[in-house]
Amino acid sequence: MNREYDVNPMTLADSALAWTDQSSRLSTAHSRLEGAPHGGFSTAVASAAATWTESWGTIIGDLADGVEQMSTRLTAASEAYHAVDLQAEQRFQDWLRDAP
Amino acid sequence: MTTTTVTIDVPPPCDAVPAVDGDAALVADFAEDMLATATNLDDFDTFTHDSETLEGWTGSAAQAYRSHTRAAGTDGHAISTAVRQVARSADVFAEELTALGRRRDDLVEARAAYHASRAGLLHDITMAQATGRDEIADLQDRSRTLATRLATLIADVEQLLTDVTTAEQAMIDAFSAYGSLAQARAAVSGQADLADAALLRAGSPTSGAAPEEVARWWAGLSEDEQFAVLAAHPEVLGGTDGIPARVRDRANRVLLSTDLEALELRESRGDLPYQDRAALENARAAQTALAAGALDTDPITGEPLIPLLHLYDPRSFGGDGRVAITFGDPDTADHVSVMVPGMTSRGTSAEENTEYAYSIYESARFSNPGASVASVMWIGYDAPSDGDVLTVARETRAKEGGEMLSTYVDGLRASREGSPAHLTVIGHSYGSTTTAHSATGPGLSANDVVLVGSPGAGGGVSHADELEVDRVWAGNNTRDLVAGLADNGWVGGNTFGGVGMGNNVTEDTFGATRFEAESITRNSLWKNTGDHVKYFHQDTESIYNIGHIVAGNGDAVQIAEHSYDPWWGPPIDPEASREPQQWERTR
Repeated sequence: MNREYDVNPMTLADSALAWTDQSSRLSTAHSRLEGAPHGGFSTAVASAAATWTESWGTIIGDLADGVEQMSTRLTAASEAYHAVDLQAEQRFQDWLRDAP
Repeated sequence: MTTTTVTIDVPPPCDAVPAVDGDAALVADFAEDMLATATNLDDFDTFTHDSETLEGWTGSAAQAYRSHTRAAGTDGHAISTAVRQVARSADVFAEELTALGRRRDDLVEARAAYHASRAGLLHDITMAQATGRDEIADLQDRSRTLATRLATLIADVEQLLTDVTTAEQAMIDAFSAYGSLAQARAAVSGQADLADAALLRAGSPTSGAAPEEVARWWAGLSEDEQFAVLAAHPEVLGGTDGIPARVRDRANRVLLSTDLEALELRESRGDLPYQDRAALENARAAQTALAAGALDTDPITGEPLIPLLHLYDPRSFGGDGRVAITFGDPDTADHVSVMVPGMTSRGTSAEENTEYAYSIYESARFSNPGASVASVMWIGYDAPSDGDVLTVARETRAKEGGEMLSTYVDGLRASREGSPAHLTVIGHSYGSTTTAHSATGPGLSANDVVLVGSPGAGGGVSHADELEVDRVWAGNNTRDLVAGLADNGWVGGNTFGGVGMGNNVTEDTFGATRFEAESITRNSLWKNTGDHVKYFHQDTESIYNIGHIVAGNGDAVQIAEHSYDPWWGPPIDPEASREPQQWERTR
């Protein structure tokens, strides 16, 4: 574990927003793939199309879920850094207030 | 009496031509869905590469984040390539199905014609009771010709069926080649991305090339390369001057649909950030404008029009957005017009301005029914609007917008096929100042410039000749409050301390050709803002004359007397007391 770190929680919050945007785009891509019309293909092609969209729908759906989790964890990390900073500040304030 | 029997072999009927199984329009819809999906995935691939490290974040947690981001992005290229390849194959298959369907229709017609000829021959043979040698030879010739036609028909039908099978197999092969993630990984291993390689070539839009160079770059790409760039970087193609209008439209529609779906999903979840709200409003406005425009028809042929989304960037200018929509294809039309709106124009005003573009299109078509027309509404500069509306008092936005307009018009010229179009730029209100700045600054590659509702052509411009186009037209009406803000008369300076837009463009000393632009609904006496927005309304003097100018019928324009400034009194405008006319749309 690296004991040195540097962080700007706002950067994490901004990045979380960007990951949320990607998550929503992948979710819509997933929906689009699952709902893509096969009706235009002949019987010979339609079954290959259905197999393909089902297979890749699963892959992209999983990808979208993972990206949504990344956004959630970045938001949690940003809030955790904020909380630690606030906690440290609070302890100093308490110490100053209790000082004789 | 001797009777001779002659046998003539009439070929049999032709079997029915089998239907081409499949629906090209639905396959095209499938291809567009795959294209939009590929765009999402390419975007994600780029995003993960760019997001591996976050500025201002180091340490163990940052390293863990980096590892996860790399893992998430590992297959980004393989996944996006797989979907892109299937999209491309579906795109090609849709085109092939269309072509095969046409061939089948031709064969059905040929079969019907064959049967008609065959019936005619049978009839003539039946009727020929006593026939001479020549007539018999003729019937035999016709029979042989029919046999040849039948053989050709049968061969063509067989070839059609073979081609259908080949096209279907190519589509099935595309699904199979990228059937799994493992196959996609293997396919892209060690391969340079087609889109990235194309963008590295000289003249690409990302190299900052001029519109003419961009046009040559695009024309030099293979169809596969073009499709790869379209899927991976529609934002590059959709907003680059020099790219053909139909390509820009397709790229921008992909961006519009992916934006709308993602932003509306976030809105429904309640997590749409403030900065994206304006983008969603702009996207919705563009969609509404396109949908409304698709209900319009060509006034001469009655055929429905499909407006092209020539520019779409809902996040630019701090959320004001950029959008351009055209009726007709500016790459092929004989006459092209670009309407530049003024104050308050932004992405959300797309629908209103698209209606104006249609009015211009309609009027120009009535003016010259034999010529093709493209009418563009261009919200491509940061016009004063909303919070920054007070910048309207200065020319800074007009100067900056003039540069952008100049490049845009150069792009229209560069992406043309064949001979140059007769091109008219129509500036309304602050857009007229922007148009004039474009002409007097970087230069405007237009034949005609029309200034309507103009508060002035810029403080540094004292004469229309300075715009350096073939002809400058001015159409201010006498009740227009904004047009009335221009300097009138010899006492007026060009601007007052940098505020104001210059001389009245309808004054005799300015030198523009003034046309009638009064409205029958004008205020009886006072200048007002309501009369500032009537220039593109249907059946008005203004739109009638603008249509003639756009269509190259300058001689048909109703010329108005200039306003003038006698030494003995205030400026006089003869148009103020003239009774306005109403022009019917059908002429």
